[in-house]
Amino acid sequence: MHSDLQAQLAFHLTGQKTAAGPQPVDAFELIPGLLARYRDLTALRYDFPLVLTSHDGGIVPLSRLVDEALANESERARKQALRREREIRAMLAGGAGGLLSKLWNVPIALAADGELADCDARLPARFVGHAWRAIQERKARPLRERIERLIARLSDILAVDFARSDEGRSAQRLRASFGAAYEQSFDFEAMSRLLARALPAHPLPERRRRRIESLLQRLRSQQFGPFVFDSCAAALSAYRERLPELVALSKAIAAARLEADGEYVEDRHDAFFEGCGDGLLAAEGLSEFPGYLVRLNGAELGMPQNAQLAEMLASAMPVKALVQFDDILDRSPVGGRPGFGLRSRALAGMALGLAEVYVLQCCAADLYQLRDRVLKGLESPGAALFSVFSGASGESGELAPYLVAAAASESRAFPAFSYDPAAEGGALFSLAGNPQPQLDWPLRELAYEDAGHQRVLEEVAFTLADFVACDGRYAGWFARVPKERCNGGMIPVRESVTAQPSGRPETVPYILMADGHDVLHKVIVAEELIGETRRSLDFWRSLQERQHVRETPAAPVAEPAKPVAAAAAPAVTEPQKQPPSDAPCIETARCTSCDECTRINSRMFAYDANKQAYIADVEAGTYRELVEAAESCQVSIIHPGKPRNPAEPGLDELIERAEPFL
Amino acid sequence: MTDTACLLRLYEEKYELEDYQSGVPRWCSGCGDNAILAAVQRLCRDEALRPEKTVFVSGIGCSSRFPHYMNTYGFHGIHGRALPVAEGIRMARPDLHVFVNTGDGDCCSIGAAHWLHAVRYNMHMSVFLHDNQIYGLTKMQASPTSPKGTKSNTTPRGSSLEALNPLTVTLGVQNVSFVAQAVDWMPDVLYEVVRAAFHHQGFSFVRILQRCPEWLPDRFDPWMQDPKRVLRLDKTGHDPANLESARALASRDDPIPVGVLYRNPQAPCYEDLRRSQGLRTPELIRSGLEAEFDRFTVWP
Repeated sequence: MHSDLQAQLAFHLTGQKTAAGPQPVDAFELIPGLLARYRDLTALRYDFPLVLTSHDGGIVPLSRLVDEALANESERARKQALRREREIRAMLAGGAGGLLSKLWNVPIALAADGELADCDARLPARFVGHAWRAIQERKARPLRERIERLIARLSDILAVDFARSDEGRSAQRLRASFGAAYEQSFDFEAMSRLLARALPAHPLPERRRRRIESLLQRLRSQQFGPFVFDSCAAALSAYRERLPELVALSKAIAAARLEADGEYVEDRHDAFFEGCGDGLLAAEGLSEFPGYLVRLNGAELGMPQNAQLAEMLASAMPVKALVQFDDILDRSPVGGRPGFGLRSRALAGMALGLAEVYVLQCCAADLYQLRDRVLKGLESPGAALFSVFSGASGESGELAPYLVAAAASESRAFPAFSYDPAAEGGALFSLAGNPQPQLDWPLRELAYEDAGHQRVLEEVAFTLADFVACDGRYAGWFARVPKERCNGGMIPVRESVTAQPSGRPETVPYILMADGHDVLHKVIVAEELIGETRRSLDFWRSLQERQHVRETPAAPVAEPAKPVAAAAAPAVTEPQKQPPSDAPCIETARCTSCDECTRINSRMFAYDANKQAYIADVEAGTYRELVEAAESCQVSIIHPGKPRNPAEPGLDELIERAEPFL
Repeated sequence: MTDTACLLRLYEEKYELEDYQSGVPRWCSGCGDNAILAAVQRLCRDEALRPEKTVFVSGIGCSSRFPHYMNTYGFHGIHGRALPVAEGIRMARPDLHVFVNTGDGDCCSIGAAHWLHAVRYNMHMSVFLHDNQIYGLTKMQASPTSPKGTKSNTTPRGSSLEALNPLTVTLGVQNVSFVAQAVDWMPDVLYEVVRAAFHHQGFSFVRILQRCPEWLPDRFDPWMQDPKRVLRLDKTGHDPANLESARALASRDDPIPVGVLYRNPQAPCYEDLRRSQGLRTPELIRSGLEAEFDRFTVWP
């Protein structure tokens, strides 16, 4: 046994293989044991394929659409539908695509239609692009309506001016205006003469007419996008070119509103609009205009592109950048150690350091589960960065990209996290979406049959070593140990990585892998990979510390046996909620719009769309004003709560006065 | 400019509350007129009433400031004559939505005669009686609806007459078709009543008990503080088609019944009786002219 361990140590430290030692592993000969039952994804029902719905920009799994449609169907219909779903899944895995309605040939109506999207190299761009376009359309609608309304009103002014002109009052024009229904009812010649006598022409001043025409031209030329780019340079250049147009458009909207309301005063407003420049467009003002989507390939992010990306994100440009990584196991070009995931980590670090940027990192397999966070980022007014690993490096043999992507997340090689600068209650940074985020790696139960045909349950961690084992390029870092040469010196990678290194190693780390016949093997791992695994763990721990969810290494890791399919609930800290009675509130639905509270403090109390009061900004006033408003309220619907500032003068008296309204 | 039948393009109408707001109301803080204004503006928004097709008519009083605060057509008439003006508008412009804002003095005192016949004529309009039970604009004199014993500048020892009940009076007039009551401190009920009045085809009479924080600040406190003293008719199973039941409810003032007391959609409207069913050329002329003139709502 000692010689076996020596041979294994020799491989672990130097990569040296001997005839009597561990056996080499061919690329794709083995897969991690935990992935063995998922070889054929088409036989399983899971989130993919997704349907990118046509009518509302939604994204929904095909399996959910089918389940909803089968709610009251017969068993026969159910089998037919599920069989077709499986077939579609297999077709998409083979590279086919198209509209769901074209592929769904079962006489059971599904609630939605749209393009089908499998988890492949195209998914991140399609997913984010589809959601982004829907959001842009929704965002553009009020602006578009506002502009159309202004165009209509300004056009009306010109039309009325024309109608009051000699040409507009001509018999021919009047006849056309009244329409065929009144053709025989009026003497239009007489009417024209009457109008000419009764209404002297008062044409619009020429200057005003030119101004209105210029405004109309500006409003009509507004572009609503979509503005999609494949490079930061192109996006930055387009943004810089468009910025003066946005300033001009903002001016045009403001001027058009004044013109339409008849409030434009040339002496005052001409100079104002001439003089105001970029200052008219505060950062908030940009949010109502169409944004930009930039799609980047993570592999092509070199120094200049990184700098441009940083500039784009830091400049408060309304841009959403999607950086797609297809391969996170490419070796660092710097040389020396492999440096797995360096680019993605550097990108994450840069984006998190910008503080005002919404950041979401996840793998493509989790995009649907984290769709709320994706949508939140796409809806945020400022810049957002989405870093997505597609799993489609092409280096994992027959393993589906979905599995490779999920494995990256599971092994913490590409952990999911989000940073929302607008979140409240300390919930800026989140590790939601990661399995068992309080642990170094998620623990899964592996059930197998031992030599004595007994069922064995073993808790196994999926580490970076397991993830790298999926990649054919690094088969040389693994060596299989025949069963008869296994010894006590072999320990799981998890234990090897978390143990404190002390001089010369006396143990050899291994992972469990399965061959094509689903037979489990212990496969030892080279030291170089352990080093990478350690570095990956350090990064994961730094993310945990950001959110304070890490369990200390001394805490017992063994948890009660969990079914493989069930995920443990992440132990994230919920923001503290204030007890309802301490916070001031108004029963808005009972408000009688009497102006009592708004006259006390119009920033603290505001009217909603139904002209009923609510507390707009409790920080905008004092507790005294809250109490006075409660006392003045005619229907006693204002409840001042408890004072927030203990230093406010006269609190004792105020608390006593507030008592009847609590 | 193309040769089209319509010179002005009418864009899709979607109104906000601000589209009906005109000027800052100058009623006292806490005045119930604010709640009525808010409810009516919400009605206009929710029903997408075109401002150029809507007119508010008033007489004299605090309530009659109403048209000034609505961004629609308005007619602030003379004391007690809001109803005949509104009836004239209905005859001349049957295409307009006509609302009347009147007060307990304007309607039940000087305008009482017009009121009775307006109910009988049953012309299609919504009448809101802002009943604060006092003359407010002229600084506190007793009105016909002031409760017995009300002390005011003209009744320093308390009014000696029983108050007039606008509801029972209205329900006593032939051809009455819609009577309702609301209170300004229950905005949800107020809105529902105002909406029901708008949708009724005929003369909709709504009495709105409203607070006057200046002259009768505590008048309705007992009812405001005890919800049981306000009887919501929509929750009692009252049948608005039953005139006798409506009259019985109308005579009660504690609890105050709120909601639709009586509704008769079959009562004939004067406009329908008056107008000939045959095609008349002057009518055609007028409708054509009106349709054309209405397009010119923009004043350059």
